[in-house]
Amino acid sequence: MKRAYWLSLGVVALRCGAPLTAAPWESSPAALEFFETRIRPILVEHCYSCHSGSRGKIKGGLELDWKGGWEKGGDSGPVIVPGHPDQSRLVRAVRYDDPELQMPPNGRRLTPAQVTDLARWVEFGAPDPRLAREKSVVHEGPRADRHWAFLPLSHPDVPSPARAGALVKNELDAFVLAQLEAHGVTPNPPAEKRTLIRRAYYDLIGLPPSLEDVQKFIADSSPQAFEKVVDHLLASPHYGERWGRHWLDVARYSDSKGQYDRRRESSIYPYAWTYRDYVIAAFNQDIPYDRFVLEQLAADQLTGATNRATLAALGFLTLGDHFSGNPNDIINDRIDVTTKAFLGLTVSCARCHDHKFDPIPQADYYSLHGIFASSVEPLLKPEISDFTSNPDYKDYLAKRRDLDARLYGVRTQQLATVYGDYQRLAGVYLFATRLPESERTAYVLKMGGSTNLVKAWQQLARGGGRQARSVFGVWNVLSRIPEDRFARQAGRALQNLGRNLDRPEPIHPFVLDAFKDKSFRTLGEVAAIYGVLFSSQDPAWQATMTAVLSDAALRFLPNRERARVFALREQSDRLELSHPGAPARAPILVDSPVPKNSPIFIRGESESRGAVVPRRFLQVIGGPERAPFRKGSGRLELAQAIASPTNPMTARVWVNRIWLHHFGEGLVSTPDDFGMQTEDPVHLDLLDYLAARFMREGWSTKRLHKLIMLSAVYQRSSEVLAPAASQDPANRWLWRANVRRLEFEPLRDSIFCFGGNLDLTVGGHAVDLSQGRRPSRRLRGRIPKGAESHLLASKSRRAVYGFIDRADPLEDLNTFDFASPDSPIGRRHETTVPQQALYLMNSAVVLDQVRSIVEGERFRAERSDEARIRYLYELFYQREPTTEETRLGLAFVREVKVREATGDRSLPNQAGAFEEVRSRTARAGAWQQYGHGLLLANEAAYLR
Amino acid sequence: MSDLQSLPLSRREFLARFGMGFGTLGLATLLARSASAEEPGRSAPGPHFPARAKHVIHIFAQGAPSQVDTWDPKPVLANYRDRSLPGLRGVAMPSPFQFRPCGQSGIEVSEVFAALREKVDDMAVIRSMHTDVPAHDLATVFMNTGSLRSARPSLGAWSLYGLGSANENMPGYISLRAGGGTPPGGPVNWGASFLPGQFQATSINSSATTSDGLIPNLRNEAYTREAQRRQLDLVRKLNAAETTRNDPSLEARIQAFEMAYRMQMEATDAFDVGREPPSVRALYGDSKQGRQLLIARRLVERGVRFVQVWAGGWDHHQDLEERLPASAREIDQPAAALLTDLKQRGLLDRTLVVWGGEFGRTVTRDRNGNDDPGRDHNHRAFSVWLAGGGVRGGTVYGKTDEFGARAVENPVHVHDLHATILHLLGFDHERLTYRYSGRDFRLTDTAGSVVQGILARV
Repeated sequence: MKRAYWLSLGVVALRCGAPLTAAPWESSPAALEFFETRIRPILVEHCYSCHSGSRGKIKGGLELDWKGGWEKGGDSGPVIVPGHPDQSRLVRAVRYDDPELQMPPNGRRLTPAQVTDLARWVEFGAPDPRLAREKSVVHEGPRADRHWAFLPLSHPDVPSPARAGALVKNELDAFVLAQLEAHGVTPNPPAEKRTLIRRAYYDLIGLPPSLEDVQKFIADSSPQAFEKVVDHLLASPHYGERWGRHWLDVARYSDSKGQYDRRRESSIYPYAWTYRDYVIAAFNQDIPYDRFVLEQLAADQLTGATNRATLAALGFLTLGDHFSGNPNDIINDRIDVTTKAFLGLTVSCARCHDHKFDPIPQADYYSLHGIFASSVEPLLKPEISDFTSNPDYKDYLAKRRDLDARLYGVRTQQLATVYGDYQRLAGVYLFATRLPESERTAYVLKMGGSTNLVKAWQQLARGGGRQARSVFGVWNVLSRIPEDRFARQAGRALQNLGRNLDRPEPIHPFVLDAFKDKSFRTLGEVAAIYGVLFSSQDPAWQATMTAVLSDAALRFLPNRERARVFALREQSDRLELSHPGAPARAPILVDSPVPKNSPIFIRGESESRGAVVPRRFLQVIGGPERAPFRKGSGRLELAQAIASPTNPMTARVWVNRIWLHHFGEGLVSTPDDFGMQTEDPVHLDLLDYLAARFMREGWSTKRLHKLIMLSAVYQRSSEVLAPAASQDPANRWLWRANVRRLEFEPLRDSIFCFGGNLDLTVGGHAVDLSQGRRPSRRLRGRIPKGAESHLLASKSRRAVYGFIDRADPLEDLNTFDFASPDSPIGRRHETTVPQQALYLMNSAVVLDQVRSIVEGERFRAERSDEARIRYLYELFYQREPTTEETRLGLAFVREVKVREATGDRSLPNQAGAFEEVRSRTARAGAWQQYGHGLLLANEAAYLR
Repeated sequence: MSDLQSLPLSRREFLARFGMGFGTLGLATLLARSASAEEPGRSAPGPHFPARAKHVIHIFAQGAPSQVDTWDPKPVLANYRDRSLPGLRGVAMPSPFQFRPCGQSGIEVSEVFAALREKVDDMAVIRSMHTDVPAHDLATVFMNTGSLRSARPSLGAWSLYGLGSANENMPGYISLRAGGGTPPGGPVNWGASFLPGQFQATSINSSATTSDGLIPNLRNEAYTREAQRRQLDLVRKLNAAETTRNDPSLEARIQAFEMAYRMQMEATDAFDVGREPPSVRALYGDSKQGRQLLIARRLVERGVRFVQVWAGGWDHHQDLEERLPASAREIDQPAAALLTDLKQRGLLDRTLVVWGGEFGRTVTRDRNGNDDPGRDHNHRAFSVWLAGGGVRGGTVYGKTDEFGARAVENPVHVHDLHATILHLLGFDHERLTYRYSGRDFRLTDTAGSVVQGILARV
């Protein structure tokens, strides 16, 4: 549900303006397409700044942001005569032929192609769908101004409902009861103690209470009995595991990179687990939420008492899908996760256009883009553990060195064979890449090169790193010009390259020098100029080339070598991932040395660059006068703006997330989107009260839990009682508790726990939860000897420690609606499918644990069948069986025993499944079948 | 089916009387349910006219296949090689592949579908498809659910809801994924949204080669079948108290257990392609898609109504000349084999096979890859084909413009395709509705018209 909703927001961003109507040519789809793709971008980028009321300037009285504007014309009359470019002042101005009439002014002339497009457009009759003036870029706002989520917190007074008494345990109840009374709905009585303690345990730690826990709570008749339970659970290290996992859903956490380019990189994030552990610890230590925000966005820049392990917080940004290394997709993911997770805003919808629903102009997206584009991931991640005292470290180090040496070997060899003779041959290869296959071989051989290497050079020129692009940028631009236009366009293109020194990817000065004052008419001559440059002996230039080539040596490899390097990298990452001696490292991000603002990408295309926008916060929160960020990339300032008490979004979004997991429904039903598409929440006052109080009380999440759980509204029973059931079937007014289904993690962990086999170790490297059945293909590869221990050791760890492969999640996780790590998910989609039932009915996990229960001492110590039944009920459901349920159990066990005694071996001859009962383990006895049955029942999987 | 509709039973009563046969019931049960239950909506209509097809196999060519390299020849592009095209951005990229007329009908198809193109006489090729957005995840979900905005029931869910299942031992709607990850857009692509839970697809990762691998935990190694039945009867009794809560998710869970129990009988067999004779396996080929389509046939044979087969890898931004044929090869022989096999078994008449992606591609070079060019996204033109159940074979429908960039003659929108598929299943798409939060919803929203031109004459 959630996901599709995001989709809906994305849509509009991609839909271009041209409606399909049959009409005269001017309004035909082709004409409009032409306008939208060629003309509008020129006008927006080069003309609106002075000729659009929406940008505040109408110079010379001329408006170019709508059709009526140029029809009326400026102070000197109409500027376009449709059909007649030569008579149109606009066309004459952009041609720059007339020294008196040049636009855009001050030499910022359009490219020849743009001039031609404008002239053609006028010649076609200047079709223009812009029938009204451009609206203000700052979104028109009556509605946005009044949207509840964008308003400051309202600080409502706590109401005084008429029938307070036991119905009002704290301020929350006053808000809820006031609404219930207003609607004439009577709230449910409190839940039974057994129901309540089960609810509290699963809510806070995701595990069931033991029999003793329940007994103790029941025996405690003091008014603080429940509060003691809550305090106990909040102090448990397992609290962080439960709530950390909720946050990891939002942080789209995964231990792998997604679909990836296996020719370039390994698929694993070997240190992802350090972020997971950071999150768990942050919850357990109740790090104030504002601090939690700062750390995840800018731990590298925080000063003060910062534990080194805090650096792992940056995994929030760095552990998203890696999109095969596509930088703009990676940045988009970081914008997406940051704004949805903390602000409940879908800023990523403004990647191509202004946001359709929310006041988020495209410029704001690129303000954030600049921040993340100015942040880089260092290759070597800082270690954050004391590894030297680790007894396994020596072994790890030996293996590490071995792998490094082998990688180094490949590089050395590549440098020698592929790039060895570059000074003589680079120009030759470069030119060869442009020749048709048929001529290529002869040419390369003639020049003394090897045809096998052309491809490598081609890849280097096209797809090398930043430095490579500074060297080959000129070549790339010039070689893109079609042959028939080369002579005409090449000179101008080169000029443009040289002029834009503030491009994000500047051209290397040596290259510009090489082309200075040179004339060339063909690409061949360009290659020749490059050839001369490559043979230069200047040490600075040679240093550049050495860097470019040694980077390329591992980047572009013949297939066989590539496979070798890839295998080594995978092995290397597996070593880091799984070796017990591998130091923990933080997947960090740091500011790049030269932070830069990003231009707007018109239509989201990285090659269509619009105005450069400052790095700064969103206008919807920061206001139109917000200041640009000045410190480094601006990441810390962004984090501070998000975590600011004057920002009403952050606290609202967070208290709603907490509420959601306590009630199964949020006060706002879309936890990751508080934008204008969301309705006013019925309990907006309560939300604002909670948000304000949360901040006042030091952003303490644990205090918030306690406040919620000690309210009457949390403690209600879930019974569906008349007449409320018909007055408010959807429970909008919170008259009862919602029945909630357990997610995969608490369900599975509980089963291990019942069997007495749950390993409660907190933290550490990821473990393989596949039960050896079908390990992820990321893990299937050879794990270096001696490095298996972490991954394979413990199947019975809590599910939160499982290795999560974004591209190939465990089928069990898929089956049970695990949050897909592709995008932030504040609320999991819930399905009910037969595979879930099959897991519970048939999986070895469940069968083994059930056996373990009925073979356990505790069970066998029970003296009577009634006592055994009672034990199982208390263990699984935290309650006693009813007389009827006991009777049912006794009858079942008796029947099974009789059948077995009388040799019931009737095995239906059905197609395969039951041909035989394969006894991997002993055949299940009556008690096992019974206990297992109790686990299959709905009660085991739901919270009441 | 029709006599069930007249039964004045709530579904729970029905289940109690007839065992666990919910799987056989689509509309009929819901009719009964809506007559008694809390949802006061109008009851959904039954099949509106005789169905031509009773099953659908939807092969989803995810990634957006290029139309001009497959089903929509545009030789004129060669005249513009490396030059710009009037009215379009970028540089023309003619197809590197040869087309030739095939079959009796003489429809021109690209060489990349060497086997499939011999089947054109069974196919209706729509060359004038268009959709709303050129973004994979959105358009993929749109093709499967008809909705860009919020999660809506998928085409398969609507189909199953309309038709009901024909085999109580198998889920009526199965989605086969060729790998572990979820396709763009995720489970919404085969979801039931507000339709009752049993109409969502059972999604299966078909990269495994054994039934056990395909459906984890399909076998119980500790119980006899009778013991397991006894156990589930116990569970039903235990649940009886819970179900008085009237919560549909609790009931859906009960049904899931019963379906799981019955699947153990039949799914092992249905998914085990090893039980096919070697000749049939050879026909499909021993590949991922070969196995998927052979499974799809076995499922249809067993009464599964809707099989969604993910056959992606068509996003060729670069290196199209090399990569597109590779993607085509994956599906070419298997899909041709499927048509042959269905026909030989007499199943093609009542099985509709649909192949297509979520949108098409530009006829110009993708601006990212010049040396090994590919094509960028284009939602204004793409091709799909349909074959079998009620489709007039040997048909070409609709046209794109001179260059293949935009559907211009008889354009077919995604809603139109959906309307047509429902039509072939016996439903008027405007009347197959479900009431949810006070409104009657349908697959085609407020649009869609049946593409009459591809229907076989009755």
